[in-house]
Amino acid sequence: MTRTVNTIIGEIPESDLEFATLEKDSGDTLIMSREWKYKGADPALVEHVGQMVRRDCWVTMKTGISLAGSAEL
Amino acid sequence: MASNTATVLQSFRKELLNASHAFGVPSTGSLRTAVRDVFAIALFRNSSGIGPANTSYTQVSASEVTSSGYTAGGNSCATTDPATSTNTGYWTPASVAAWTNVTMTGSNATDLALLYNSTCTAKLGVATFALGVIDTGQAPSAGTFTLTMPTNDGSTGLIRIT
Amino acid sequence: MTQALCTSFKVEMLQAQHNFAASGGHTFKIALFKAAKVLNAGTQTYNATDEVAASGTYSAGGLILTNVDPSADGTTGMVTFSGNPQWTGVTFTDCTQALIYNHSQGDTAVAVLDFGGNQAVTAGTFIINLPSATATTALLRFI
Repeated sequence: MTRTVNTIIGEIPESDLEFATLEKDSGDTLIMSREWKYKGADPALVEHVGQMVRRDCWVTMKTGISLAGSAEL
Repeated sequence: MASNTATVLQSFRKELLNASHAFGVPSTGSLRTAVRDVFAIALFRNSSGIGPANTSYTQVSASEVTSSGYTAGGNSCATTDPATSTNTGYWTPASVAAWTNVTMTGSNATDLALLYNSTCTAKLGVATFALGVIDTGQAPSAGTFTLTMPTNDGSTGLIRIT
Repeated sequence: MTQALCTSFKVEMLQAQHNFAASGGHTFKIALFKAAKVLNAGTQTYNATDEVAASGTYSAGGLILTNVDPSADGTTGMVTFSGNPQWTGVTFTDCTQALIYNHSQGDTAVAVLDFGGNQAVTAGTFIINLPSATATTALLRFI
């Protein structure tokens, strides 16, 4: 069975797509994104060749927030 | 519109002192029922001017992202109990469900998550967290947006009192 | 002796177990202790070991504090109590520290206060002048 991927141009066979992942460390967060581009040969979708048709994002929070509590006279 | 700010909300610091937020189950003898509050995380558009003076989800909901696959109010946090490590009290939700098949691009891109108390009527806010670089944010397109919590310990827990 | 917010209090705050509200809040007390008492961030509950002896208006367990609604000053949440705790006609030869605790919640500890040395009193008045309720000086602060 052909695996398909949901995209902005519909459900596309995974074999008609290529993806690239990007990673970025933003200090307190680690960002990863995956962009899928259409590379297929469907004549109905020729205008979309090379277009980014889906992006997934992962945000990993490395740390939370700190409240400093204190008590003094 | 102004940039968003990742911060503890000023109001939360005071609300902690009148037992407004039960991240864990209050013990017997508490003035509250022995039921923890439910917390949720909602996502907001870049440049919504959300910052430390904001007090609740309700107050800023007009700036929330919109997308199929995303329900207003965001997703609830899986429960976990507060704990201590040396002199630090801390809490991190076990997880928050990913949003699937969402499109948050262009003016609907998101650079800020708000943690808030979804049990209380006022939807009191706790803190905001940057989703990468403020004003750039994240722009999932027909894709999955996954938010992973930090390690739940005294150094990195999502909410820590030191 | 260590002046400190008790660690157990920090996690109990995250469980909504301490309510400092003026109306409907918990009852907090302040008790006085001798130098031999080990009070620090690890203190979890009040007990009478090494508490100053009863005299004058001081009795075991100390004094009930008058709540004031928690407030915010800038980015600081803070709590103070109304008035200054005081005892009259007391005699203390050894009194160096105090513990604030939640009497409504099983006497769970809130904070340890260090007087910076022995405060001896003879048949006199002992007053703790609480700090002003500001972001930098309030008795209990979250910053």
